[in-house]
Amino acid sequence: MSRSSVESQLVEFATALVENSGGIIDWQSDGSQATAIVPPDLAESLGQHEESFLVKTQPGDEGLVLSLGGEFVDLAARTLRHFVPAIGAFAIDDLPVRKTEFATAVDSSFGWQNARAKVLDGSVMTVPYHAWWFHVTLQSEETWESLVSVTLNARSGVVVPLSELLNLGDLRPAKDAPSDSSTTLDQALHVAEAETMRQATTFLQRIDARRERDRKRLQDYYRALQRESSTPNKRTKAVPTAEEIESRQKAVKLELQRKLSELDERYLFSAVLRPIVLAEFRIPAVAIDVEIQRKAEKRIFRVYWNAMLKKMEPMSCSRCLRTSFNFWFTNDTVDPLCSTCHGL
Amino acid sequence: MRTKIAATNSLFDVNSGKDITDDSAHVRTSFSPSGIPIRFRTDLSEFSTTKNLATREQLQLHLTHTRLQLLRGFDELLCLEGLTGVEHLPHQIETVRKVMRRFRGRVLLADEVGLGKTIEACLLLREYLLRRLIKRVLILVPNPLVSQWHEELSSKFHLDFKIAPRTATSSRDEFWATHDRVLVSTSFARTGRRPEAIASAQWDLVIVDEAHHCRNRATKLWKLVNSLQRRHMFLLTATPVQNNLVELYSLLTLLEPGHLKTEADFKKQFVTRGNPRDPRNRHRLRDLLGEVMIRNTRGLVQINLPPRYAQTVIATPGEEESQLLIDIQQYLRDQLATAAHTNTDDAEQESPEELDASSTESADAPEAVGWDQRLTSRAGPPESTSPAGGPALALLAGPTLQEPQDNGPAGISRMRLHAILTSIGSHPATAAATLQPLAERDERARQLCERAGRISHSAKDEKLLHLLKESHEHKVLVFVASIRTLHRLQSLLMEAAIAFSTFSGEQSSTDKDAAVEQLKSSVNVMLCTESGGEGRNLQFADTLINFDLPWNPMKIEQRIGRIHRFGQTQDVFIFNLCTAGTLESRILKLLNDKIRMFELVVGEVGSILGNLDDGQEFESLVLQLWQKAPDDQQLDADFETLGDTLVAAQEKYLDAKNLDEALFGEDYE
Repeated sequence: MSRSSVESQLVEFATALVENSGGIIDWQSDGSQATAIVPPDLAESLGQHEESFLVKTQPGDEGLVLSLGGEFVDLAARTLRHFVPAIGAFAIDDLPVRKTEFATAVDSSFGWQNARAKVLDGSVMTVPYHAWWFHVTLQSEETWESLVSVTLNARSGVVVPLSELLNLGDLRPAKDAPSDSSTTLDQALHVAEAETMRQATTFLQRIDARRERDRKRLQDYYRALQRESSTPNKRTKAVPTAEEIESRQKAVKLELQRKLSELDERYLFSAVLRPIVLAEFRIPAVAIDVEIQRKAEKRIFRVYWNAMLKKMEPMSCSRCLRTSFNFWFTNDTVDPLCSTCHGL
Repeated sequence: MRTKIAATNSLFDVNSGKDITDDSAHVRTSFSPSGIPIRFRTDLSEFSTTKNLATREQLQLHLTHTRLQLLRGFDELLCLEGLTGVEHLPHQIETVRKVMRRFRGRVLLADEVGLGKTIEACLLLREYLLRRLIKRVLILVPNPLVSQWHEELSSKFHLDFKIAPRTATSSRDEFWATHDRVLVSTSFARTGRRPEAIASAQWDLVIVDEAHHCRNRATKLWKLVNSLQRRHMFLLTATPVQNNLVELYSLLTLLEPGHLKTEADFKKQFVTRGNPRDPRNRHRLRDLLGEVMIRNTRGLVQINLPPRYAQTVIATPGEEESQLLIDIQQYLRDQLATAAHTNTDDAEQESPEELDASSTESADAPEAVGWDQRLTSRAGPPESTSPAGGPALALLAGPTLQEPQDNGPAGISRMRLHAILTSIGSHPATAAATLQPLAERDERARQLCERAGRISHSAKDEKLLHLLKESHEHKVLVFVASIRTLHRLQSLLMEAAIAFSTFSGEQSSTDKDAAVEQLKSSVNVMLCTESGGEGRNLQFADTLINFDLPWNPMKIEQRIGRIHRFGQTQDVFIFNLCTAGTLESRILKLLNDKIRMFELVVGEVGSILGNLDDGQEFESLVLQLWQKAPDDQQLDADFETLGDTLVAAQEKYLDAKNLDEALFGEDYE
């Protein structure tokens, strides 16, 4: 990314931040600096003493300096938290829904491996989908960060491959609050963790390799010390006794263990997922009830035909929560299992 | 904590009223590929506390902010894009990340020699500049390294720096205030009124190369660096401790005053009484150093190169060639003698461009910077330096040499003098071309030019053909300094039916790639000019022939570094061709016999030359010696003295290196 693109991102962001937080900002024609006029609490949040202040991209003593290196990003975080809501609800209305052929859609999409399935009924409805964005930080001897997004059907909890919904042209803001977000948060976190592991593979491997290298370095060093434990004292030339050698070697061994333990502690990973944004999208869908019969037991599952995807959504495995179109069912409770969990 | 989260979580209760305040419910554990536990935790405290519904733009604002945070996180380095010929190694990238994240731009980079401290510093510099974290940068380097830094910053990192001119301008505050990127030699910066002028300006970043010269707090250099107003600072040295541990204290005090408390505290805690080189409380000291210093070692980064073997091949010239060499040098000496009696205003005045275009045809024009700098110095007052660099330097600093150094013999500029002397060390055909402009106005030069042109095969030509035939099972790079020599060798190899490819600064990038590919697949020889394959992987070649020898040892080292580098798996063979009786043969003898240069690790030559404290560039020293010596006998004696100075500089370096290895060893990172 070029220098100018970072700078223009900062300028664009700062302008939107001030304007969305209740202030106004006016850039000079050459784009070098702007004057912002904001309410007192916003000024304070942005670290300014006056309600009117300069905004600029070049370092200086006064005003709000837009740079990645200074405190601007932190001030912006505080301002966003207090002034800019992070939960939104939107509707996507004008999508065609095919109610008539839902039975065929279910049959051709799903594989019921050890059960009989009977498509009962389908009804057109608006289904809420929750799109979560998480800021993920993986901390070890170094830090890795990413922005991970997960979209789920809020009714079924199933992850759906819908991205970029926020950029859709025909998005209509909803007037009422979103549905219960706590129902999808757990599942979204679970999926975000898996995605984090996937995205951070290189980082994890690098840290693993460094830890191994450091362990080897320590082991080599203390092994060398062990070898030296039997050598005579350089100054006095006194040759150590067998007891002394044993005692020294024991001490070195203990020291190595302590060092390795410290090293492992230093390389421990901790990952933090911070929800940044939740957007609920209300999308037309066909909810289809399917009766599954496993031996004598029966259970009804609801699956969805998604009007955005124009196809059936998968179901979740009851054990690992992974999505699939291919299921086995348990005997008594008729719980759906993916091929992996069924194999276990 | 619980209260805070509960308050935050009211967001989630808009409809459900559910309480998810117990964040321990969100703790899960996964494992890295090698089994290190990864503890996942959810933090809701940063989530917006505003209850209104967000618009699409407001949500996007949150996401943009997070993306900016990620950019700030330095995980994705911006500096790696758009570099030319920089083969950055994993430990260098790791160092850049560490300095950005952990050290906050104040660090002592103390990698072992040859691991690329300069690359690390330049990557960091570029990263900071690209992120607009800094604007004004001052780089302080020993005099012999100024040209190399300038050239590498420009050609590899595309960063233009102004070299402080050796004129009165540099003593004015305005110069330092108005130029945002300045490169200056430490010896020049610390003398005259310049320290005050440099200190009057504010710097975002100061880089000090060979920073062990700042080890003594009583010196002008330490005081200069300490007085600089700067936000970030990189100190670069492979040998932070040269004599005693207090030097380390002095260096780190420049970076983080108070980090090691007072000198008395430091000595009390960390220096063994009676032995200032022996540290106490090593672990504590190591921890403290780890907060301000990075030291990569070969063992740590696992770069162990295969051995290399160097051999000098002296070509004894035939009678005609031998006499020509003598006569050209005599001609130049006569010109020099005449100069002493001639008004210097009559001296030939040529710009580097004119000289380059007319005759020298330096293959890649790498020296333009250094020469330009010296030409500029003609206009200003002579630099005030002390002859602290050893006996040879003291000798050279005397008044007898100042005149010829600045002006050169009458009728011949100093640049042309250098060009002619190097050309006769390269090839008679090149010497003829270099003499040509003089031949147009001087009968004696014309005759010499004709005689040089008549020599179809030089003694080195024969040696080269012999070597190539002997090395037919190896991939060979033949380095030349002059494009004319390159053309001559092309003809020679064609006549001898030896297949080869050519890599020179004249070619397009595509042609260069094709030349390397040819060497890899279909031919065994590649003729190269100085830029020889920079940035391209040539480690499949294992033999290097220096057909001619640059006077600057760093350039010789750069040539070697093209194949004796990370990724080389075979033993490397180096053949240095030189004609008996030339200056090159003396330089080679000096470098080989005195400091055993060809056995040194890449990078060590720079450290040794950097120890020529007030030193000039090596090639400049050589030229001065030649100018000063009335005959070969005196020249041999002066080279001997220069050799002693080099040995002293090397001993100083080795002593410091041994001490640093003992102090930091493999157990330090």
